[in-house]
Amino acid sequence: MASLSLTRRDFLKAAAAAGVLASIRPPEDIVIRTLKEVGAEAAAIGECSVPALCRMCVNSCGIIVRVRDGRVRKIDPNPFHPASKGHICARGQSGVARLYNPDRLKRPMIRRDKAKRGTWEGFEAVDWDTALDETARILKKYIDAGEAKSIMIGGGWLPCGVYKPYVVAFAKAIGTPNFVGSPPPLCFFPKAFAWAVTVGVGGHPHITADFENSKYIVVLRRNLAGSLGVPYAWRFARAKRNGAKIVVLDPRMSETAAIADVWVPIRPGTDLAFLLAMAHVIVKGKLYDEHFLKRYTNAPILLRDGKPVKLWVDEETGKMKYLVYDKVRGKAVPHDEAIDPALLGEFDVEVDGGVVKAKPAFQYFAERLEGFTPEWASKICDVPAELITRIAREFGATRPAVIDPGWHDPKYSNSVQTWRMVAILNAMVGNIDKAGGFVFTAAGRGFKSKSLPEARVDVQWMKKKGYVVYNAQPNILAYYDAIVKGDPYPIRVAMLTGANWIRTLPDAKKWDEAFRKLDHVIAIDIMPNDTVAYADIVLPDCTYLERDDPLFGVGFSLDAGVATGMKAIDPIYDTKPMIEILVELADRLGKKDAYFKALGAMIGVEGATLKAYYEKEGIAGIRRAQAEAKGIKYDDLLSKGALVLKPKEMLMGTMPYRKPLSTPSGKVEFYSLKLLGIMSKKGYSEHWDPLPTWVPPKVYGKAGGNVFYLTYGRSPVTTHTHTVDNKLLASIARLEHYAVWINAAKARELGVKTGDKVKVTSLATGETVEGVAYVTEAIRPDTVFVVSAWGAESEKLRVARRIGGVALSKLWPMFKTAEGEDHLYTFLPNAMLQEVLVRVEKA
Amino acid sequence: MVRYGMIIDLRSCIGCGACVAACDMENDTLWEEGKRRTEVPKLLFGTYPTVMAVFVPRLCMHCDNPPCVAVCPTGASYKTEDGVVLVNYDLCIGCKYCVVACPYDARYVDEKKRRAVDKCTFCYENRVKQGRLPACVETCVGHARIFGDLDDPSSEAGRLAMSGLARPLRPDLGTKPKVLYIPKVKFE
Amino acid sequence: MIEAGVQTAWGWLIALYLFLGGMGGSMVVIGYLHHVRSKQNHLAAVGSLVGVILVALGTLFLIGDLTKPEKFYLVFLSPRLNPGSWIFRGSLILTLFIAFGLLYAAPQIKYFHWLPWAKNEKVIRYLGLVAASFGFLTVMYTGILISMARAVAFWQSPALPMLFIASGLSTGVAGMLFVNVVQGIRASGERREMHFHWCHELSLWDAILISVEILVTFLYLYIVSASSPEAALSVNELLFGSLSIPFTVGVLLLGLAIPFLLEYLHITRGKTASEIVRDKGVFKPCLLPITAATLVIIGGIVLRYAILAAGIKTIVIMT
Repeated sequence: MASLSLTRRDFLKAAAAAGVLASIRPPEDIVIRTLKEVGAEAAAIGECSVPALCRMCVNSCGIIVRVRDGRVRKIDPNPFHPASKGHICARGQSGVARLYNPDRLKRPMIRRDKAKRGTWEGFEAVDWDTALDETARILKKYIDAGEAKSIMIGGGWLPCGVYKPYVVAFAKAIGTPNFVGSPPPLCFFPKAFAWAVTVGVGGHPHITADFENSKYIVVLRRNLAGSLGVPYAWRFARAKRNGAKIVVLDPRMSETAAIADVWVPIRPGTDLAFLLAMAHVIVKGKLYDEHFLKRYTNAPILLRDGKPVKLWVDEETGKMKYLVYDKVRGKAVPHDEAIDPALLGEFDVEVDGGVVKAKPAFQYFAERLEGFTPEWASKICDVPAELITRIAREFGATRPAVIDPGWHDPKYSNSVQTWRMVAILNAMVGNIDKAGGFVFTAAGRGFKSKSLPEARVDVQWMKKKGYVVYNAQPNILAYYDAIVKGDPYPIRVAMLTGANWIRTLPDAKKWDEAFRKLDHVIAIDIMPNDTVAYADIVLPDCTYLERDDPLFGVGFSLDAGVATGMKAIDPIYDTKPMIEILVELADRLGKKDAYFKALGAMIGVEGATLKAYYEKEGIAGIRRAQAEAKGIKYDDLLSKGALVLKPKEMLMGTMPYRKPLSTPSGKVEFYSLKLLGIMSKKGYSEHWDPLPTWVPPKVYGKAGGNVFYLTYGRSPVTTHTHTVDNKLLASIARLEHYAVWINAAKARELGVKTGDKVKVTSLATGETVEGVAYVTEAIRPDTVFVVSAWGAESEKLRVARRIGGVALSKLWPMFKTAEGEDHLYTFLPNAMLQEVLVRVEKA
Repeated sequence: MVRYGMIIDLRSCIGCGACVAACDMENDTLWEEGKRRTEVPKLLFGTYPTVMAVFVPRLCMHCDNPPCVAVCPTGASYKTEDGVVLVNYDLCIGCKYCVVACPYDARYVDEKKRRAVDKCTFCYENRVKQGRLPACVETCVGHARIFGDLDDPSSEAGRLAMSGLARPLRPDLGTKPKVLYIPKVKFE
Repeated sequence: MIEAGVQTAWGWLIALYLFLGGMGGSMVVIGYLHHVRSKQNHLAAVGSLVGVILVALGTLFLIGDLTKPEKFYLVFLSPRLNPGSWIFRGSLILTLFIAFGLLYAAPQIKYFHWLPWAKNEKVIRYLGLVAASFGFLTVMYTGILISMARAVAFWQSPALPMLFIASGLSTGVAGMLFVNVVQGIRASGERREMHFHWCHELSLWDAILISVEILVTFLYLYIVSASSPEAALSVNELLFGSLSIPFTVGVLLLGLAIPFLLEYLHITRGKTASEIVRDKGVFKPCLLPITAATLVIIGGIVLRYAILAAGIKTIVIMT
């Protein structure tokens, strides 16, 4: 009988003997037994378990689903999954409540009266053939008329993340370029862009920090423990147990701040100033990693008037080359020829027959930092200067130290430069791809982003509006003009999967308008949410427990691996998995071959093979084909649910040390050549200065009296709006998870007590929403906070309606504020969701 | 003899509720009515900006000197040889003396499913006996719950118990709880 | 910084059970004492019978409060019986009390004159002593039961069983007053005078017991609130918090102060002329004590409820 305490040494011995990769490191004291052993015991009590992937949030943790007597009883964590490693959060556990939620969409429905959009009236239940035939008929109308591009296919994080190929393949098959995952401008793009121009990649699944080996961790603009991405939270908790010192910058005491050593209640939107002051202290105190900066970054690049003295392309490598001043040889040389490139100083450089005075970028930046003192930052951030100095010194003097590379930040006009500063500070202490520092995930190594096709609505719209970065990521906001005004060209049909845009996109009123304008709205979803209420055709999806999953590369993990999910039970209602719906629609449109061809190209399997396997086994067939193409042992995969292909020890510490980064220079771009390129085309702006400078948030200094900075975030019992109608989560949720946080002293001024109804009016949109107050000492007096997921208005979401919450999408402006001010950030798609002030009054 | 107990690390707990959800599902509690075997209240101290938040997971302490066992007339509440305090649902008549007597608010009345008083069992029958960890311990993302033999120095739980770092709640009551808490201390 | 909560498992049904135990047990005690003093057991027998019925009723409430009322017998017959439990001990005491109380009281009732000891004064006396002893144990037991829940600081005072005894006895006297007046109404002629005389005696005892109860109540609250912060919380709830209206109005005012006043008035008023009593009956002359008795009984019920409802437990104490 397996004992209860298995030390790491014992396990590795046993694992080696069993031929299991020794790279799977369970936390101490966890009992690792194969699924077969667990399965055998479970079978004895009539229980069976299958491995699966959780879909309660984007992290896709590995789970084991236990079924007894035809019912899913419990979801356990899967210890073999390299990202989640045997842990599951409350949302993961509540998948059972999602499966058996009586509020779910249970059968296909069609509604012919468009006037009833936005309500639940007028729907009639139909069988699948009718629903799919009708959907195909509608799509065919536009395809045959050569108007395929007026069909938009989109959704939230689901089709933006791992299911993207399966949805994009359909878009490609029917010939529309307008596939839109809504997250980029509303989530990760500012952070991703900042990191991408610095180290080559920056998307959520691609970068992270090696928390557990870090000794000093700074977290800002993120609630990494509380919004609970399990792959991050368990490593972060390990860091704490290993004695790391944790500093959290947050206007409120989030869950992460609650377990931090230092909570810095920083004024919202001013983190950039804090970081600039940190850099000032680090440069002044020479706490930076000189060796790293010289060898692995382009900090020594010689600049004149802020631009490189000389920049050219290396014909062989395709990478950019530049001049640095070699201290050993006493002259300027190409950077790969320098023995000891200077970081500081001013030098005479011979170039193009003349001599010019040039400074390394580091010198340039150091001079800029002179003014960004802790005293300067202290006034802006409302943080004592001594604290800023102390944190900067501790961060600079501790190795390894890391600033968390960020997650969701579509919040301010300075978001991009804030994350640029984070990247630069991490580079300054030399922690790139090192233990305890910033690291690339397995999925992030070798990721290459592609430009979006010009034929898309959003690319054309952004180009017109003068966006600087207009073809890197989709921009859902552009589609409003396309739907309502036909600008740049009309979008007439929206086919959505896993979207709740009425609640998640800024300015709900405008999206109500847009949804009413469309000729046809088709929704694939599991819940009757506020957006599905606008559909003409509802195609109910299966929950993740009722269907197979294809094979996926594991994101968010330091080890490289693959994972899949197996169906636990047959669908309990008349639903079909999204992939099957898309295939059947493609079939009806005569595009089945095209679908599998497009899909195959994206997932690395030959199209015809894929189709044949699908026809035999459905989605499980796709998985089998993928496994064969990758040379993965299928039985092994199914017995464990997740396999590690390469442990992190084989991957870490290689970029940029042994492999160049996918930046223009191949190095960590202290001085961003990409931003230089933009500056050359568009002229100077502090938003795309190749070296960061202070950019105040638009709302800076405007809070006071009963006007507050609006901040929002996540909670451990919610993900996005799809988790609000869940009985188990709702029963665990506390008031603070759905109420409006107000500082105690301010609440006294307003005569508000915990539990009182309050009116929150957005000064940006002029709309008012009602919420309940949570009065607390754990938030700044000038700030209010509310968790973003709630505020559902669909009466069919009965659990969510009982809780209530705040409908944030009414408070966020889209293009213009209520006063007619521009709210458009035309550098890159970034919705600026916290450049919003609100007035709070007792209701 | 094994002496099962749990260490709760208050430094790591963020009140995420995963343990609560896991227990509800694993043990079929009356969670829909708010009656559960474990809860994680939040305690907040101080005034802005000097504030400290502690999340305190609470469950049955599986005391070595359990007041619930002492007051139970029918012997339905009992302690196993390995230190787990359990309720024999067949013998429980639901007088609720144990609910009143428990200083840790660990028990609740299950009028619907078991028709008896119920509480945390350390997942004894359904997990521990099969060599698995209690559901709450297994799921905890922050490793804030550690389970094992408190007398075994080769187990993490045992080491933490013996180190004196982890302390019981209300030691003055003489209940000798076997769920011990590592306190959160702030220096800033 | 403490995290505390009030116990909610024992509510009205248990409060009534405790109250009826106190009152019923006391009625047998007082009945027996009266029997010994007045050398006749008419009042004693009926009072004891009522007392036994009240306790039995209380037991029904206890059983009704169980999650599994049909399994109540396990208190005596469980294969894992725990004799150290005060629920077991109390059930035993109450059962013996009811048995001996019935044995003591039954012979007085016409229908049971055939019982072997019905005419044996000595045996009846002994049965009465035993019944009264168990009656006293019953009263004491109600206080011991809740003080054994050491989790509730508010109940950890020796003054609590004392309070329950004082309250039990005063409600017992109140009950006897009712029985006495009812008997007085049904009696005629001289017997009416006798009942009126006893009414007076019982009023005196009631007044004494109420004053003792007032003293013990204040002593109890004072001592226990100094013993620990959570006990002080409980006292605060009773006097100024969510239970302040039931406690200050229901218990202190209506259950103690006013009845004392009424009894005092009755006692110092002087005796109504025997003729009036003989002609018009005992009810009107005994109006004050009857009112006082009613209020005492109500106060006794609310007191038990309030003490249960103020049972605060502190779980986490952080400094």
